[in-house]
Amino acid sequence: MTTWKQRLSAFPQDCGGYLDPGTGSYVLQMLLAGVLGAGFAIRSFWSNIRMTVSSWKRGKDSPEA
Amino acid sequence: MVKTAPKLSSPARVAGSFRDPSGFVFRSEGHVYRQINQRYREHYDHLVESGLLARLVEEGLLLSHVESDHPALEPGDAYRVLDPEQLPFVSYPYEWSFSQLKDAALATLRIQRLAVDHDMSLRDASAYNVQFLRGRPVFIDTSSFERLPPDQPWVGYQQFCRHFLGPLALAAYVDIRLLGQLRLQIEGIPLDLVSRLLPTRTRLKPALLMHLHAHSAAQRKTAGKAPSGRAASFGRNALMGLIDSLESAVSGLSWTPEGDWAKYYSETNYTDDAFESKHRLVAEMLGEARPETVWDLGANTGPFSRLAAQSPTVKHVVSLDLDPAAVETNYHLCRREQSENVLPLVGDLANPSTDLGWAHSERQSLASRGPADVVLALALIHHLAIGNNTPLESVADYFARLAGRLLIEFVPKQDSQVQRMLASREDVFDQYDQTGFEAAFGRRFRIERSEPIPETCRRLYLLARLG
Repeated sequence: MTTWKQRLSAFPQDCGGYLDPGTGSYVLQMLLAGVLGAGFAIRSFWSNIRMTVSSWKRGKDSPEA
Repeated sequence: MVKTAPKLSSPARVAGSFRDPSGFVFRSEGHVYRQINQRYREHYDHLVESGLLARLVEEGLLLSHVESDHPALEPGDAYRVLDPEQLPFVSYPYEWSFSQLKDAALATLRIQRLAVDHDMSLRDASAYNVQFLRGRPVFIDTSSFERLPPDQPWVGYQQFCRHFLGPLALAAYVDIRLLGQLRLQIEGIPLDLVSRLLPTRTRLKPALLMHLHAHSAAQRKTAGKAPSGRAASFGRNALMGLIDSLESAVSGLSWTPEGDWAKYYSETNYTDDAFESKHRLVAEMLGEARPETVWDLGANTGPFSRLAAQSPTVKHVVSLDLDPAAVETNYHLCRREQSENVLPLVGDLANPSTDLGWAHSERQSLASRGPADVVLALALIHHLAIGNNTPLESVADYFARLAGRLLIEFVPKQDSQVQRMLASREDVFDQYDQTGFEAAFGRRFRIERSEPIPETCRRLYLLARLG
């Protein structure tokens, strides 16, 4: 597990292009990685639940059901 | 698909296309091509083979192209030459209304989301990579995509915040006129400036706190520090979370026009009949001029731009006004009425867009992007001649640079709008009458048709440039 200090000092080996991404912009993203990732995972989880429930409801309401 | 190219003559790089060694754009016989270099081969092939290119083109998010057999401009480096769909007019972010910039921002994020889904990522997030085509934002830089670098943050994050989120937040929370800063800061508005100008209450908005205020602080704290080179992990969920968060930040920003100009056409001294007559005369004169491209200068909310767009020969209309509220309204009306070939833009004719950037040539002036076939200058001359003290001869000279034909409305001093302008100042405009107008414009143009506008003291002219 990376520490906050490691994250703050982290920088990619390969920025993948001609653009200077900015050290501060990279550091901030690394600091926020956990929050952003968890937020996305939670939204995806609830979205999957909603889709499952709505498809189950559609199946139940259809004439063939 | 390979398309046979026209004969080559004097091809040259497009001046603003020099930053990215992966490729560049060049012009040959007035046609624009994109050269993809060998070093970008792997990424370009993945863009095609992963299906991302087809998906983006299908959704109207990326400018379509065919691979061409046109000779490369720099054959030693070339991998492919692309023949993209040609843009009728190139506009710049500092000419867009609030919603145009917002739509361009959301399109960029949608593209990034689809790119990540296809194991790719945008290598930059420049607002200059977006143009408006058929009324919608479209990404034009085919070589902006790279194979998704494993576990790395988004390289375009800073640029996205400087080009899109910061300016939109300033417009929404401080003043719409701050979008004009993009003309001074063509690399986007620095985040420390954005953070300083935004009101304190924006720190209570998590997305703005994170992407603007904290972002600015992180830049300040790391300024001048060399990166350590230590490997770090920024997984796909974090990347998608970042896109979600930026999307939510942009979507949450809004600006509603309140300017008087946005109501102009419902509050002018035109009667319905006079307006109808002017409408009919403009349509007739456009029918006689048979233009393909029209620039409507001082277009306000664009009623005559949309009229011009319906003219059978017209392919594209640029609809320019200095008031961001009018342009915002124009953009929404064009979307609502599906006037896809009208491009509303913000621009002040008294201080038009100039050549900008490296060697004065990265971004072109308004005049350099012409000429148009016809310039419409309706209810405009008094603003230039009296509001801006511009001599009529000088107005005629400038319009002669912009178009071969001019459809112009002369608004005399008896008109209530001019009376209002003169109410608080000395009338030093001795030459400003119909005779003076015809003499000044007669140096540059020939009168093809001249008609009074019924129920008004105004007159409409169709002029053709001399020589």
